[in-house]
Amino acid sequence: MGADRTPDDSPFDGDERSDGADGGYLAAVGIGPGHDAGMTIRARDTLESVDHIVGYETYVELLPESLRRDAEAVHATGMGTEVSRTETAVDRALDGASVALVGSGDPNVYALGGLVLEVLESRGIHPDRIDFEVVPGVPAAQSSAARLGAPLVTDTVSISLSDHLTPLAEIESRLKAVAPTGMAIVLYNPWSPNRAENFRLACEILSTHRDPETPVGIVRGAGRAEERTHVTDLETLPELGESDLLDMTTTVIVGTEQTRVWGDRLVTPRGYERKYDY
Amino acid sequence: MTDWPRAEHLARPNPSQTDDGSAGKLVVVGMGPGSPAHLTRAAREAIRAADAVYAAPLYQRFLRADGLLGGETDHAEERDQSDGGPVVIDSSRRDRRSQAAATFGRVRDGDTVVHISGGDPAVYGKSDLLVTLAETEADGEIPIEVLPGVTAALGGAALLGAPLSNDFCTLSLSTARRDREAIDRKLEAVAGAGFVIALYNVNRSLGSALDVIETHRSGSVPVAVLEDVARGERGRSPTGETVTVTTLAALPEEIDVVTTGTLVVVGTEDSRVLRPANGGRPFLVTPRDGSAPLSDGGGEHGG
Repeated sequence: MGADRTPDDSPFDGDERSDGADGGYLAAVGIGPGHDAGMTIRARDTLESVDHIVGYETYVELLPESLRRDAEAVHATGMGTEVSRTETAVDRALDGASVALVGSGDPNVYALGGLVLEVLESRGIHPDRIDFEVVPGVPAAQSSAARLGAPLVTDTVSISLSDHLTPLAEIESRLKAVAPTGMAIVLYNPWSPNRAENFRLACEILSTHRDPETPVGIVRGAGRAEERTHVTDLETLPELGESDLLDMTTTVIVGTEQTRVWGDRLVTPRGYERKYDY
Repeated sequence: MTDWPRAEHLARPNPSQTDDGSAGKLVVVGMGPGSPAHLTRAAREAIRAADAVYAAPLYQRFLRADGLLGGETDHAEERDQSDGGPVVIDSSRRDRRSQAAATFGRVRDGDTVVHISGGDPAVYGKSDLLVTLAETEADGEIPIEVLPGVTAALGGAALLGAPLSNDFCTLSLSTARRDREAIDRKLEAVAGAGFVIALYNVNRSLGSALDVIETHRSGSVPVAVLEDVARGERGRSPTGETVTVTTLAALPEEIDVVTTGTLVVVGTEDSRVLRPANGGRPFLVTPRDGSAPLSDGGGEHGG
């Protein structure tokens, strides 16, 4: 059990309390699918107002040119540098700068919002000291679902197939738990060359519990210029692992027994059929 | 209308799809959690460019206050805006089927018709109904664009920091025409497998749902109860936006009233509350790995 830090065992002493004296500010900003029109007004306003923008280079490149030009310092780093990138953002905010840590989708969804809190916690600093806030964005599940019609209008789980931070056994047990239920399943990080086995395993678990003809929607790079969508079924899904349709920017949506397909449109009704009488 | 990149697969081969400005279409728009600041630019532009807008009175108020819809708040069923803005139709009425039929009629006549859903249209919204009726009653010939929005769960999570930063699920507890046992089976599955759980439509059956979750999770796991997320003073609750952080075991004592707008986030055994020594708001985080040291390495995409 993680410690529920009550006032009695709080790691934050009197000197670290929120007083705003440092003047620093850190926002974890979700930019949505990665094009200007898909960003919320609040996200844009936040990016316009900060001095520093910190982010993974691919996400920073997705920002409108004007935002990158206006920010005093743009710090873009490569894949696999999540912790040091987050520490850079925290350090600059502690130095008094206003900083936006950007990521695609939403900061809560397999992104850096949680890492900011973990970095602060490890140093005994309460988030209010840098006026930390999370600016939500449209997550990949919603951007992808929108492109397919309405595949997620029901109870839904999201599972990342990356075992970088979550043990594969845990991913496996989550898949086994939800596969027999009538919930739609969104798979993030479905495939990379060194995790082909995770994808194969996921397909195997899902086919054990769901009809082979269960519709599956695949969206790669949702909302971006190079977007691709594909509708298939559970039986065919394993074959697509090696295709260029699946990589770490792809979202896979596995339907339920209620999911219907019309051409390239998918619909999973929320189960209120009789209310609408259709 | 918007520069949201077009999805070729949705561009069905029929004449009305050619984008010469005279073709009609149906745009299902996610409102986000409440405040119009959470609308995407694509959504704002769609509303501005619409000939007709279907929205519940609550969302009409938000959009009027923000200047996206003209006129005053009005519960009349349908009326033309004097300023030449879109016709605004109250979508909270029960005859959704006839509203869909009217929508398809307008689209065939060349109108752009916007339907507003709270949060994201795919999260217990109405994109399922509209896409289904477009296929079954309009031969799939109605061009439909869905503009996604920030979900209520993520809008609420943002106020708490990062409670959903691991595998999570959204579950509706509404038993209106849904099988209670099926809901309980889903709760059992996700509670036992370590998902963070975001509960929607909790107003009637929260107590029994928490009982199911508690058979799999410690009473001490953090739970957040959110009311009128991102709605400020414009929401339904008399107390405005409220965020309460408690535990699974203590919730029934601490929370008196839940409404249809209440969102409940149940953390996992790994979720932690960060609370300052004296006052200040609590943050909640569910780390990707409860025990791992902070180090680089990775190679995964978020979203």
